[in-house]
Amino acid sequence: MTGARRLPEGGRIDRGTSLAFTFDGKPLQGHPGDTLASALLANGVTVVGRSFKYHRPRGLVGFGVEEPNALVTLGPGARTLANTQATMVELHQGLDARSQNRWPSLAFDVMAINGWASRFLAAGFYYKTFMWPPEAWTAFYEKVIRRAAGLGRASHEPDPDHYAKAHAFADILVVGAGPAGLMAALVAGRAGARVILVDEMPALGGRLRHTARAIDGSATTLWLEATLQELESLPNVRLLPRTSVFGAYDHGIMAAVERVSDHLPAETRGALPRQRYWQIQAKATILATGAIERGIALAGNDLPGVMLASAARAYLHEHAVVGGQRPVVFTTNPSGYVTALELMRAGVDVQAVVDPGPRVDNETVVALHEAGVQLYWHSTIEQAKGRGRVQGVVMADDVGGRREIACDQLLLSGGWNPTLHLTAHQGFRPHWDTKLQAFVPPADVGDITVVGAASGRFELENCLADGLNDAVALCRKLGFSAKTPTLPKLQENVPYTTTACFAVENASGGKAFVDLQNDVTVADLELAVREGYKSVEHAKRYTTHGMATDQGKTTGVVGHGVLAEILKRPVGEIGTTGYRPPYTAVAIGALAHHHRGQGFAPVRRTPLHDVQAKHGAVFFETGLWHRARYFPEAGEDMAAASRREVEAIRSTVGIADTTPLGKIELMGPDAQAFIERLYCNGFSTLKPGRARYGLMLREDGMVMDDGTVWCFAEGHFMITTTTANAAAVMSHIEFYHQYYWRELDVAYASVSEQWAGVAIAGPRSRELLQKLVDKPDLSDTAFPFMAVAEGRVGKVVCRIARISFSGERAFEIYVPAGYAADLYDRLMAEGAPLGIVPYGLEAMGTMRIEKGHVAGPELDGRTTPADLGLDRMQSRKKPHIGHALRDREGLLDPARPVLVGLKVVNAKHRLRAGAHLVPRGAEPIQSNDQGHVTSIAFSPSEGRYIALALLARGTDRHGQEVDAVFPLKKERVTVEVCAPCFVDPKGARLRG
Amino acid sequence: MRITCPYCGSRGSEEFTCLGNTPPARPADDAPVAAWVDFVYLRDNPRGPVTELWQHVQGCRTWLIVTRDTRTHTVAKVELASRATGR
Amino acid sequence: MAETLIDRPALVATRPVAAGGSGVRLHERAGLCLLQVIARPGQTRETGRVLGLDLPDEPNTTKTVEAIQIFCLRPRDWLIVMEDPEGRAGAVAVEARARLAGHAAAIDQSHGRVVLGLAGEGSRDLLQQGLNVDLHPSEFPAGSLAQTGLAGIAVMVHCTSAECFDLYVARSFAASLAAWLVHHGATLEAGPVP
Repeated sequence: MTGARRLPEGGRIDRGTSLAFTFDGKPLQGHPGDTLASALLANGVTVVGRSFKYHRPRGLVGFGVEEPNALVTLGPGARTLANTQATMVELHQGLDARSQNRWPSLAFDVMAINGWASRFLAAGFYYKTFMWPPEAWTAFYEKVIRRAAGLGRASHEPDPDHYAKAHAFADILVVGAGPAGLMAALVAGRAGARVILVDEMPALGGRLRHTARAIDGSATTLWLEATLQELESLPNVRLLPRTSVFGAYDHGIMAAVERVSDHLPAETRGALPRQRYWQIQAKATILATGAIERGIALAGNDLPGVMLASAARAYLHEHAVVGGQRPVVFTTNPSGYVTALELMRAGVDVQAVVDPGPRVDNETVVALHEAGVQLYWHSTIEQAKGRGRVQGVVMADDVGGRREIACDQLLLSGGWNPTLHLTAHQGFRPHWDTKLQAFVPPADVGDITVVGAASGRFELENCLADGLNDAVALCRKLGFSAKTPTLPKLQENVPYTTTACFAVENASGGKAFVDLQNDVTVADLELAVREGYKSVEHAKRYTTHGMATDQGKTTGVVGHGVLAEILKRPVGEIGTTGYRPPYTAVAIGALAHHHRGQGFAPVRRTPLHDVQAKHGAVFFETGLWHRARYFPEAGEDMAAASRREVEAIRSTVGIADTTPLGKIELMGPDAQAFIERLYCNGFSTLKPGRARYGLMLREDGMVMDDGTVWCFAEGHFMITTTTANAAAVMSHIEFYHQYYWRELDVAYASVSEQWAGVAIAGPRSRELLQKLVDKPDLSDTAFPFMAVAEGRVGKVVCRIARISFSGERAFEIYVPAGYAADLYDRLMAEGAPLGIVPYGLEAMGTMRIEKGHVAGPELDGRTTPADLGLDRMQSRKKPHIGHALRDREGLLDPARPVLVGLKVVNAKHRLRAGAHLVPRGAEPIQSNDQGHVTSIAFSPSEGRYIALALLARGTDRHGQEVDAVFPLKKERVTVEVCAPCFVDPKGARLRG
Repeated sequence: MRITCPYCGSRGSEEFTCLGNTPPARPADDAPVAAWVDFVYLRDNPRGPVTELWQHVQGCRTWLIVTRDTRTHTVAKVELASRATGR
Repeated sequence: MAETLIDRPALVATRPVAAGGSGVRLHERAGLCLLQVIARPGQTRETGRVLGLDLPDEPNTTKTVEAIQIFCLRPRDWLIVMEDPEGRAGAVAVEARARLAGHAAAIDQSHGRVVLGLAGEGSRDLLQQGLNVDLHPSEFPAGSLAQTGLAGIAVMVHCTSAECFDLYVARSFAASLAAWLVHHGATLEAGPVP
């Protein structure tokens, strides 16, 4: 029988309502206000899991986020949540929890055999075992280790919950709603500042909820209730319970996660997000995160029944639950004494209070005497004994004698560690305070003001005072007039004193645990030092102490203290390891929030999306855009559809959506001069009513983008860019004008979204377009190849150019976006008798490849105009971006890969983009690499696969055969090198 | 990280894109190739304050010169790129 | 051809779409003329004179003259917004370009941006979820303007009154932005942010 039970009175639970839950399949009962941990204790369950390495039975140690042992898996199904601390799970009806890391059951775990092999599983064994033979690693060792490693098992189903993100701004952010934080929020709230008060627990109050002391003459509960009521009533104060601030980032940005509906049964959540990720920006932050108690390393200190004294106190006040009937308290400081007294008063028979330090006298000590509790000073507990749970302890007294004390619980208080993690996130190193035997934040921690226990001022009186004074000071600094309220009066305040006691020497040979979750013992630290891992950073990583999911909250400092003792150096010299976000575990879902599935990235659609869908378009994603790829008729796949589309365009007319193209308006007296500098080819002879193809280079001479420049009037241009580079070219233009050429009198604006339109291509394109376009006259004489105009379709202004990406006679017509869908419909209607065919990117790609028009795959940032056969385009007469480095030796090397066309020798073979070119039959290795395939298409005119490629000395090799190799699919295809143009090389179809 | 845009105020760094360290002065159009090679390829990489070019792309689209300490991320200064000298 | 083309709105639903019940409503403000005017250096006063408008100098400030809103986006760069029930924006832009020749450039952006109106109690809270700009009435009162981003989409936010905002977004992103607003409106309706 364990001594864990619910007391008949007290606690902040709703005894009138019963909640049914299961643990390892066993049905149990609890109350609203319970956590899973307190409900388990109330039901007498004291073994809650098995440890990571040795599979030793473990019980509850802590009360909140510091808990190292009680990791459970909540279920079921897709909502399975592994490695959840039972102390942080709010009990609800139907909760289903399972212990972890044990098979077949908690009571009997096969893997406990590891405990017998513990000599070989000591620290660092990973580095010394599983080394030989090397081949056995992937074949065997890794598989076995993966099965044995880890704690809980996650679900592999998609997460059915959704998560939200919110931004919040405040004058003062108060992290932690214990006495110091509440006081600070109250002062700042009354002063009119915008305050956000955050606490990781569901109910605010921190350790005020775990004490029987009196504030202002009445129980703390009353002060707490009054304070909370006032805070709730202030409209400028925002309270965020169940919210953990997990990271402090640059420039005052704090990140937090709110557990919005985790505590509700899944079926009642409705549209509530499960969690919300908060990004908080405050002008000032007050850190009132309190302190966490630490344990003491002694033989058997991992037995179920060994708990932190402050946790016992918290379970008593919050849940009216105790973990034992007859505890022994081993404490270095006053808080253990208070816990003992409060337990006595609740009817628990405290067997002894053992203190390694000198005798103290105060009200609490007197009361304990009167209650009949044995008090021992200059004494330590050397060992906790028992089979599977605490049944007794061995005490070493002040004269070296040993005695056994029968008990069913051992409560430890080895000291208190300020919760200073958020200051460390910003790189401020804590320093060791010898008097407090704790690491405290340094005086300067940037934008953060640390108050109360988090700064090492553990007494309640000081917490309240700090909260008050620092808030007043901050408010005044921010320009709010804060009144200094009177500090509430407290019952006797015992100043904090403590004795250094990290580990107790151990003659029994039993394991003294430093890190409970990762099963790291004092012996492991001794081993680490013997093997040369002496620095605090090395010792941590070699032994893995402090590296478990609890991140050493109760044990890290114990480890540092033990290390210091082994090395015989002061703890202050040893130092501590750093802390990084997150302070507590954060669900990846919360960080992703709505960026999942459809919400992963914005979706961009053109105004022609729906009309194209109506005609059967199959869309695909290119960047953020959804674009029509092909328009299959019954039974067609993509290859068949695009082939039919190409043939139709070449014989009559086709229509394609060209809206996503980048379009930038460029105007002003220096617009032409600016264009001359941006493009490598000349534009001085570009007249109004004409367009010209242009290449933009980077400063290093590589091609950055290609497009066209339309001239509507003197000093009025519109330039087009590739879709993919629209944003980059805009930024490029803005950069050069704002940074280098501010003196240019030019204005520019992106009009990509203003103008939506289509390409009309094919022999009958002009015939079709003229039916709709009122202005201009599109006849061959009036509107030759590369003509542009601002025209009209009815009353609607439009922009038309006779340009061709496809190589056919073609026009591009743009109208303000809202009219585009109707334009498309009219063109389809008017084009029906001509046999008009809608076409997509696949057909577009096929045609431009057949014409040898370069596009993205050829403009990969490594090609110059010369590489692409466009050397004559690049002017030698005018300075432009990219001119200075064009004649570098490496760029003039005749062995450089240059643009060629390829066609498969065997018409049955297919090509892949990215295939590399090697001499016929040569091995596909680096030294044989002569270039690669950039774009491929099935050519209707050639009746076989063709490609554009970059090939060393390609211009001189037309007619030769090489192999295109694709080792990933073990393919090799022989191709013939030819000119990069397969259709109408003289461009008669374009210009006619 | 936050950057204070002179026109828009203090904003999250997600609204900006960074081009990189401010380049040295752009050589004259007819300067020798060696000068251009240095300009395009060579940059110092100090530990401490550096000047960087950032554009407020999800904002006013202004180009800015941000003086940032690579050790601490402290932003000492933000100026308009158009007002910079020594380009 | 005699007839003209039909202008179709950007969002499928033309009637107001409730974003999260409880009074927050979202609708596309169609029928607006958005004219971007960029003055040449030193030509601000002349530009204002030709337009008959007092142009605000400082970026991210607004002026309202009768039914015309003037937003200063950057130095010497404004967006002028007015009702355009008859769809004359294109002609207006052409005429403005002619009149402003020598002083400023005039560029029609009426179709390049969609204006989403968000109104009703809870609008401010809803927007604050997604905007990394302080929308508290003390920092962002009526008349305020911010060019920023929401859910990765560039957006210009104009507070027209206490719980009323106009969001200017590039047309191709409008549906994604509206989807974000509707989804988060529903989330907030299920449980307001504390």
